[in-house]
Amino acid sequence: MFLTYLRRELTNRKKQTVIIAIGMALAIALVVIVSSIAGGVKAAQASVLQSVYGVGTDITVTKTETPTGSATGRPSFDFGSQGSSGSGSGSTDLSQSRLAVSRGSSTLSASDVQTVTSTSGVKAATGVLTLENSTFSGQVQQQSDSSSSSSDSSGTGTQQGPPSGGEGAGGFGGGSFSVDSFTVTGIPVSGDTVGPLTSTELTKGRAFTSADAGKDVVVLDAAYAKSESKAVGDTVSIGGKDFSVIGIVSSTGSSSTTGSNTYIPLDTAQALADLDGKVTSIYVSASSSSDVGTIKSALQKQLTSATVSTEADLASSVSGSLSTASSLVSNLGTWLSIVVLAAAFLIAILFTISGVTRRTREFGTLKAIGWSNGRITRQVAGESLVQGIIGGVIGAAAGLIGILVVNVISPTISASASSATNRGGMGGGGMPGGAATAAAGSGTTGGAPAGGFGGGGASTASTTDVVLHAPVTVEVILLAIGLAVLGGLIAGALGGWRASRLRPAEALRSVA
Amino acid sequence: MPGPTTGTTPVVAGPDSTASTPEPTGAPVTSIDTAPSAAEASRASRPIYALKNVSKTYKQKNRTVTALTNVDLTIPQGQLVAIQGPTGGGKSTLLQMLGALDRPSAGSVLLGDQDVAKLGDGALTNLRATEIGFVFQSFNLIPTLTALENVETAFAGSLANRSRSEIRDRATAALREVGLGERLDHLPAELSGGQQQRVAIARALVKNPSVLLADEPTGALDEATRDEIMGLIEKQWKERGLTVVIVTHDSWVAKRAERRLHIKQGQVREV
Repeated sequence: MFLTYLRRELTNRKKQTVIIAIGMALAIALVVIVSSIAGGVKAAQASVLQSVYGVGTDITVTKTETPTGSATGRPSFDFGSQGSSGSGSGSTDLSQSRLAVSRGSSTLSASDVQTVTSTSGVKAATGVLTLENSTFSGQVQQQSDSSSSSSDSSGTGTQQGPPSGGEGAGGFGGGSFSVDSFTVTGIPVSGDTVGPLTSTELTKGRAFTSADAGKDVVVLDAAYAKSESKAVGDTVSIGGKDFSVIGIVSSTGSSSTTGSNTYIPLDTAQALADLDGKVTSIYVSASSSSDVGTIKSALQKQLTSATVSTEADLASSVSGSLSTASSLVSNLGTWLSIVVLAAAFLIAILFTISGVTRRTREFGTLKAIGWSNGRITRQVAGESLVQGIIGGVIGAAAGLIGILVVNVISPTISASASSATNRGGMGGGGMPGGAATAAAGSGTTGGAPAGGFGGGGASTASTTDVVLHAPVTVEVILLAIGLAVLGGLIAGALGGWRASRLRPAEALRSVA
Repeated sequence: MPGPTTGTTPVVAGPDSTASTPEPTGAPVTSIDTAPSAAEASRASRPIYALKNVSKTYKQKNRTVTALTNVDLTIPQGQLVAIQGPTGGGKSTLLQMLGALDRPSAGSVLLGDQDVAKLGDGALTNLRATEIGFVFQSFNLIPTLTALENVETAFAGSLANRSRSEIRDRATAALREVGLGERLDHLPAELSGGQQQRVAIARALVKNPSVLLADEPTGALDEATRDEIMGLIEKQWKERGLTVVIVTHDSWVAKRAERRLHIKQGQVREV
């Protein structure tokens, strides 16, 4: 009787069934899509972090630059007689490379790496030295009146950075400059199990071997190599020295780039930057994921001046449109889901209660002929439950179609992951009449302050494009079914409760 | 005497063949009937209903409405009783007391040896499921269920444990008995008023109750159909030895009863 009655009610009261099912379906579809996209965004964030920090990195240890109030650490170029040449036409050609720790970052010592390695729970630790190679080149016109102020100059160039700042006006009039920068990461050549290269695969050439220690050899990021038209066997100038390209690597994740433009042996990088025994980051792999918190606490105690970041901390450093997407999903998407879900539940509850009210005589009659409150409640709850499940199935199907659409479109979103504190403070360009341009690592590297002189920037930020893939998981499907069942049960329980409260005498009297 | 909660045994079984009620006309037509035995007949002198000093008051907003006042009433088993009276006089309230739909505010309502005033909700529900058949003025069929399924809804309480096939067989037999063997799969909306009331009567009788309570059973019917329905009720009353209580405004219907009661301002008197 239960199933017969249930089937008859659902098929003969189609309007109510359809409205409740549609409301529930909309909500479930939205929840499925938002959940799936949230999963995709999370995976994208993990991918971005992997591209920067490598696979298996649970903790990173870095050290941020201590502000001193002086100009120390600012990228500066010293043009004396060296690096400049007169053109004979009243202009001077300038060109100089500089290899240094990125602004905002400071270095850790080899002993710090040893400290980390010996910390309980640490499976492996690798120290890397991330540098920034900046090449300034350009031509300036000699100006007879060196005392002229910047406002007197009439250039056609553009200024980069804020219009005012500490570096102030220069003394040149006319000319053009370009700043080309890319990231250089010095890594151990011993094949460590943790570090930036663990999330890459070799596409051409060879990887580092122990024999490469101290040599001027470089492995390039595939995207950077393509943008710079470099191949295995070519040379790349780093810190004024030519490095031979031995291999090209690409990201194994969904990121379009790896964590750095170039990779060179750690000892070579330390020697070139005059930072013997120094590293900028230590990549830490924990023996167990449950140890991460403990290790972080221990490292914070031992390395008081260093910044210890877990994967969760690093995720917050991801910025760009991926961050926007994450924010949208976690804020708007979640709240929209909650609101729509609440509305669907409310619709189901109101329609069920309204249905019970409309069926007062029916339930009163059933009570009069001996139906118990429990049986009537089960009947009402059963109807609501099935309506909810119908909505849930339709919603899950609609949600899967939505996910399919997202995956077919495969939206590409960009993301930046920075491992050091951003520091501003540098003044504006202040190069009247000059045209300053900056090529920043063919789009794969931030860090080099655009405009050369102006504005601070993230010191070791890596920008990458990630294809958003919305995964369909069993959890998402179970979530959809669970919510549908929950909605049906809540509506059914309230409707059944109301039906059970009807006293048969009053129910019959109300329609007499 | 088994109590009503046993479900399958009537509170008071069998008609009193020596009483003023009409003689049962013969053997049961269907399996739902039970022929009165001599032993049962010997118990028939016991009243099926005994109301003692029953009062019922309702709270309506800030005022108290008295529907029944100190009613004393005894109804022998197997009697056909008609209750008449003006609107608001207490007819329906009295029927609800007899039907275990409500408890009295004071006094006792004995159905067999069960006091409706003292039974819990569960016991009252089972009493209605097993001992009392209801027929309503508006038929009160479930609109989404077929005639057969409507009759099957009567198997509630302890009767719900019957097998699916038994329930179907008995419901089918009950509908055939009221002349609707060809209308088993029809929805109420596809039946005439008289046919719907026949379905309601089949639903009330399929569980073989001790008492049939009818609230204006012909109130929504034309004269010809009214006669048919009353004929059907009288036939069942005679054949089953049922106790039948009919609330009606229709004097023609009331005159068919062997006992007539008039209720006014909550007080009952014999006519």
